[in-house]
Amino acid sequence: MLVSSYSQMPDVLKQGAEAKIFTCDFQGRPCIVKERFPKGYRHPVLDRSLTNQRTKSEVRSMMRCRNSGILTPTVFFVDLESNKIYMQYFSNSSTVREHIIKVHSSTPDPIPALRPLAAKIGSTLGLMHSNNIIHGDLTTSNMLLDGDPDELSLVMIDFGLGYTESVAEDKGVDLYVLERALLSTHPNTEALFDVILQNYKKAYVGQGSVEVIRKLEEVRLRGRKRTMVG
Amino acid sequence: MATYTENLSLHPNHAVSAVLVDNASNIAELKSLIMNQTIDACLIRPPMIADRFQLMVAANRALHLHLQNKRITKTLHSEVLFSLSISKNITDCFKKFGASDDDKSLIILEIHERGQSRLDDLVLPKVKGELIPFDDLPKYSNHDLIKKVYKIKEDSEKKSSSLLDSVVCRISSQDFVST
Ligand SMILES: Nc1ncnc2c1ncn2[C@@H]1O[C@H](COP(=O)(O)OP(=O)(O)O)[C@@H](O)[C@H]1O
Ligand SMILES: [Mg+2]
Repeated sequence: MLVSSYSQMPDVLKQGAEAKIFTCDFQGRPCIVKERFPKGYRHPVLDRSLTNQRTKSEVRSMMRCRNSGILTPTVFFVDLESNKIYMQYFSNSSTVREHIIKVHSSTPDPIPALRPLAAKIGSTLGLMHSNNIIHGDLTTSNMLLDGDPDELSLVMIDFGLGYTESVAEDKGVDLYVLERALLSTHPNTEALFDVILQNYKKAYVGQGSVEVIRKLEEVRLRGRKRTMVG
Repeated sequence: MATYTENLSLHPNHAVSAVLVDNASNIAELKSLIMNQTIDACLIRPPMIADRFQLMVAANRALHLHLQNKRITKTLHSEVLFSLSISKNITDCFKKFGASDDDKSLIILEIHERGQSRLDDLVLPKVKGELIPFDDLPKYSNHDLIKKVYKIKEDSEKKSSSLLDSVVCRISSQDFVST
């Protein structure tokens, strides 16, 4: 339930390793506050500036996405003193992760049911990367489906490690992170990652996607070697 | 009652009170009353405002900076104009967002402690013009002008954002995002 009165204590939604997330009301609109706290084990000055940097990066990348036509939460207020971002709360949403788990447990043949979603993820990332936005932590928990999942209203969140870069290597790594995250949390979803890549290539503006996919294959190889050695 | 009041979410013991005025004939006089501190408020040009939410976002920001002693301009109320604008040039902000002597319409906005508004008693008696229901605010906004001033360059952004939300994001990120 949304807290609509200021006098009530805010509801803590999530407490992660780096940020605390609670909901509130911002001038009549559902709001979440993402507060990054210092890690403690780092040097205090370094800690402060790193936390600050993450907060700024997150908002910058969200703005770049918005400019490119990719859905992200609207930012209402940023407090760089306490590293809080006040942003639009998609109160009727689920993460892609939650959605995939739900479909897996309720559908006998989940892969076909999830194809449209995979296509949407692919086209969104193709657009994002052709605008040189690197997410930095592409997992299925950092994508929201707003409203009815069938409408495929995909909202990208959690850009704290995001940055702007045009070279293919960084984009390949972004995709590799997603592939690992997808396969480790949702086994037997290789076919879905293929759909993601097909639509990624289609949506990518210009020729750059060929090079990105080549980098992805390179990174996969490196990853495999590392696990064989390690 | 024509005066619109809304509490501020970041500092809920404070509130915004505002009125919308049309056919105003003494904006120059109102401005000098603000200068000599007879009245405490700011005068905003309605065409620059997409929705009351835009005002509330700027007011929250201004009050927050004011309470942290990080205000850039001279007063809390001039900071509202400065917050509305994404330009760093103070004169430019006032010119774009502040009502000018020959404007016809204006918003008079006051930030005050809850229950302590002076708008009805001290300010409104000085205003020569017609009070308009505050809900009519969107009728006065000029979307082309707003897009131009906030550097909203069309098409792709339209898919991911309403005009209001594009404006709000630019206000909230103006310190560290260049547009
Ligand atoms: N704008 C939002 N609307 C709805 N839920 C959100 C929103 N932002 C975050 N969440 C929820 O909170 C979780 C953690 O937020 P996130 O920004 O990913 O922070 P963290 O760095 O802790 O992963 C998300 O996975 C999602 O479930
Ligand atoms: Mg996350």
